Amino acid sequence: MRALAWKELREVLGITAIALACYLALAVNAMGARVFDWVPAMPAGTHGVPFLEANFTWFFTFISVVFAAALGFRQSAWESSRGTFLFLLHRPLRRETIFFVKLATGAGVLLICASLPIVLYGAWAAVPGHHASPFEWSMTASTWRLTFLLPLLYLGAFLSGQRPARWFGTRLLPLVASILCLALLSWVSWWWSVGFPLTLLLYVLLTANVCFVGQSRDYA
Amino acid sequence: MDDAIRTERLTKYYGGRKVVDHLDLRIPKGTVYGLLGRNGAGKSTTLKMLTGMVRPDYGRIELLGEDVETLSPETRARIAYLAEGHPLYTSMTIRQAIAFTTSFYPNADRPFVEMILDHFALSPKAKIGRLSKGQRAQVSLALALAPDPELLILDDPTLGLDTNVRRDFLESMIQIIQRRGRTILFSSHVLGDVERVADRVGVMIDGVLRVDCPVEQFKSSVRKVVAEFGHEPPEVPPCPGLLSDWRVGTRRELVFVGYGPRQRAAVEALSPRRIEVVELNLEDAFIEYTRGPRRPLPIFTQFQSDIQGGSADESIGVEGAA
Repeated sequence: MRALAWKELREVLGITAIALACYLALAVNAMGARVFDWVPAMPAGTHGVPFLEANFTWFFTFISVVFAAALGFRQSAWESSRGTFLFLLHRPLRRETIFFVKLATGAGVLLICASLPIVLYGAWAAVPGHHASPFEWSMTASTWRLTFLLPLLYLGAFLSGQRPARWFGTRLLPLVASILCLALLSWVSWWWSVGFPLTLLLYVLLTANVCFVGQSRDYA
Repeated sequence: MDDAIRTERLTKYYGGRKVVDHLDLRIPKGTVYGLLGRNGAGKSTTLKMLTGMVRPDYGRIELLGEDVETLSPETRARIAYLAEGHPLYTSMTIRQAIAFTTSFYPNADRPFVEMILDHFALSPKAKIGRLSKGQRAQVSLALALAPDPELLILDDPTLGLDTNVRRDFLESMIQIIQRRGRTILFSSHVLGDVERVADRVGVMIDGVLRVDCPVEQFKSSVRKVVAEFGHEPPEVPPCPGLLSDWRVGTRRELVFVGYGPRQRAAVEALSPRRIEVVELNLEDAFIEYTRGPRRPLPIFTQFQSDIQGGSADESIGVEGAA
């Protein structure tokens, strides 16, 4: 299993590196480095309120959504199109184990990478004198919530890449559904009593669906 | 003798098309079995069903005595599968691919794999994405043999390889396998390869396994009879075992399955000037057996008509004898 996890990590290295570079660019610019000011609407300067500034949230969401979807497709559709599932699925492991390891690796990479700019920017903002506005770690809550919801999108993309349906038919349905769920859950009130359990339930459902499709589809 | 592979009424539909039709296959342990068939005959689908990559719509499969639906990882570790086109992770080096593959098998024979790669003169540092098709096939074979499998299922392992590489690949496969006495099921379009390696052949036509017998038996049962008349040859009446009837000038070329006294009498009744019974090699036997009624290409018919004033060859095919 460790070898499979390493293989997955090696395969998503390129996408992860690009995502990390984007996250770092965002964090560095938000910290007032003004290196990426040429990017339209990039948060710049130290006058805004950390994590509550619209530009930061917009950029963070954009990078995360693209990263999550790319990661999901890279791990499923890519493997499918290259025919390497025929090689991988013949290894002496249960199919659910193979898909579970893939998902765990992908989701882990996604969460770690998306957490990085929050921690970095938060740690910077927590030091007095770095910016004009007050800062409390609780101000990062909405960004953390978005980060926690990202695996939904990742699982939706993974499932879309894995399903043997037409791209212009129902194939993208899981991705579209997960985007809708993400949008709804990021606005839902009573997060801990409603949003959080609902998100966990969706994780379980999507993971079970990935394992089911992995088990039942034809690798023709 | 125990069966390494056993299928019962294995059936698969793609859309409305039946690609594998009630396949009953039994391959005893220690057999090298060549699965033959034209493109779209259902060979790859059969092999994929055997390895669990495609789910049958009907029927059941047993590999090494275990149902494929519930095949345990331990049993799967005793089975090697080489998919068509040798799919491998192109971003890995050969060394990484070996490490990745052998990590799943506690008893993997890594020095043996390295020995095979050494035999093929492949550097472990080489990136798989940069290897030629032939080299990739060699890496695939080495990886497949790493866990010392009892059963090898190879889907057209020599597809796309040039003659030299194919010969080399096959010789290596034969040496390795014969020394270890394993069961092998492989499909191939290169009949010469099959003839050299296989003990038994199966011929699939439109998803149906029409032939399942030793190679020699198949070769000896398909016979081509050339009857020379010296004049316009007469029509051949329907005869049991007659696969095809082809008129070439003043002679008739007849292909029979099971050319016995009854068939000989039927040919002699036409009073030909000369009868020649041609022994066929596996490739010719397979071609004659599977091609069905012969039809000249339209352009060839036109060409002959222009030259001979419309006396192009005609074809009379007899279906169903197989």
